[in-house]
Amino acid sequence: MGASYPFPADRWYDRSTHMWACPTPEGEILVGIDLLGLESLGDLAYLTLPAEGTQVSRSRPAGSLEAAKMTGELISPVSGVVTARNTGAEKNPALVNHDPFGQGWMMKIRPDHWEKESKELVGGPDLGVWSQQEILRYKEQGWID
Amino acid sequence: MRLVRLGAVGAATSQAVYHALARRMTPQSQDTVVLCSPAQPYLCLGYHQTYGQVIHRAEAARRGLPVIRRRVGGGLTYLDSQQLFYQFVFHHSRLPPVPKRLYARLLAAPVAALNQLGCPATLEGMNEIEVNHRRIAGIGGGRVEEASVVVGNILLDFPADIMAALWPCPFPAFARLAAQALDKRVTTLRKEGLQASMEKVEATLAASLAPALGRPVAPGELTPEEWETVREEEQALTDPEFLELHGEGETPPLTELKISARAYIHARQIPAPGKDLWAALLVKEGVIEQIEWEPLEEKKKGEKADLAALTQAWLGRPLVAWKKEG
Repeated sequence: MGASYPFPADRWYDRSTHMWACPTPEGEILVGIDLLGLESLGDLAYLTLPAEGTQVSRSRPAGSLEAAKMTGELISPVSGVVTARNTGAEKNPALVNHDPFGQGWMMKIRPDHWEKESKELVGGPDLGVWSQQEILRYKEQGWID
Repeated sequence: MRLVRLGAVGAATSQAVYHALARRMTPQSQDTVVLCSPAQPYLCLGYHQTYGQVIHRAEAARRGLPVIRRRVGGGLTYLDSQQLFYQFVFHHSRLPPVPKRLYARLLAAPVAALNQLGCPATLEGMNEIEVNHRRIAGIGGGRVEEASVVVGNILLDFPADIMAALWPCPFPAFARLAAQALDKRVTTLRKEGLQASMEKVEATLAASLAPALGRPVAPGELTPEEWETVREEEQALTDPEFLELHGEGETPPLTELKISARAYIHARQIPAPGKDLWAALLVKEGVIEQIEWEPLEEKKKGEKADLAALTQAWLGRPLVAWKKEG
């Protein structure tokens, strides 16, 4: 179980939104969405990301997306200032579905409170158990096969 | 679950009602189903659509059609008094978070109603309600604050020619094919041979809600506070800045147009003897089913492309082959 839904161990995950946050060597945070989050959305048709310089807050909407004719809010996993957005993914949202942990990243944030907020995310030694539980939960609910 | 039957309402009101209920939604709020019918025709943009990319501005203005943008998904819709507009506004925690499940649960009611009316409707491609492989409804949905919203309409009648004229088609052959395809792939109660009145369709859908959703339904009305929010939303959804949300002015013309869950029209330019050609391709499940040609400027007098031969060569072939060879 879990082979189809990898959770790379170099990043942290938001329990409720399945957004991931990955620290870069420059001290910024790369943000995207994991495969279970994408499974619950479907193939993205639209993605709207915040402009560079926008202040975003953890657990608050930072952008929007649409899949299966259904719009949703893009919830930021961390607070800070947006320093880059993936315009390639905005033009071609399929990138996010095809490579969610690589080319399908969404935005880069200079974090305000990474030390504190990373503790509210799942990562490190807790990741294995949580990810297995999430995959099981999605299967039990019939959200994934 | 509350059922609010509003009857005929103004264009902006018909969209503002579910936005208002969604905005006011809390875990303690009643889930609500709204049934109404627009008193006059109008166009409604999906949240992420760009105005100039999907609406022929001059044609919409010539016809005096108001334009409204909704905060939920899906494509451009033309609504008028021959459509029953249904709106599900539920607290998100009381619906599945996965679109496929959510659509299946909520759209069971209109599917059941259509079957009771004598149309063998089925749910196809996750969110398309079809009768004999033809769409009979447009659907859109989304998360608006704490609410999960799904809206759609049952078509008693539908002017495919007007809808097609409102798309900013790149060339006349594309527009012709779009109008033909829309007429062929979209059905209505009238086309299915049913002369059901709006009252009967509405009553049938209302009666289908409780059994389809598995919850009791109580008739209700909007409160004065809810009406106040409706009025605010009417302003917000027609605000010029909101209408031009994803870019102002003219944009490149359409190169792809969705007709139904399986059918799309694509525009492609190809070099040919004598003239460059534009081709409008009707593609069903990835296979080219019909081609309409649009000759461009003559390159060399006297040379003519053999359109019949080109058509025969491409019909029945996958669109991906055109992308490689065309």
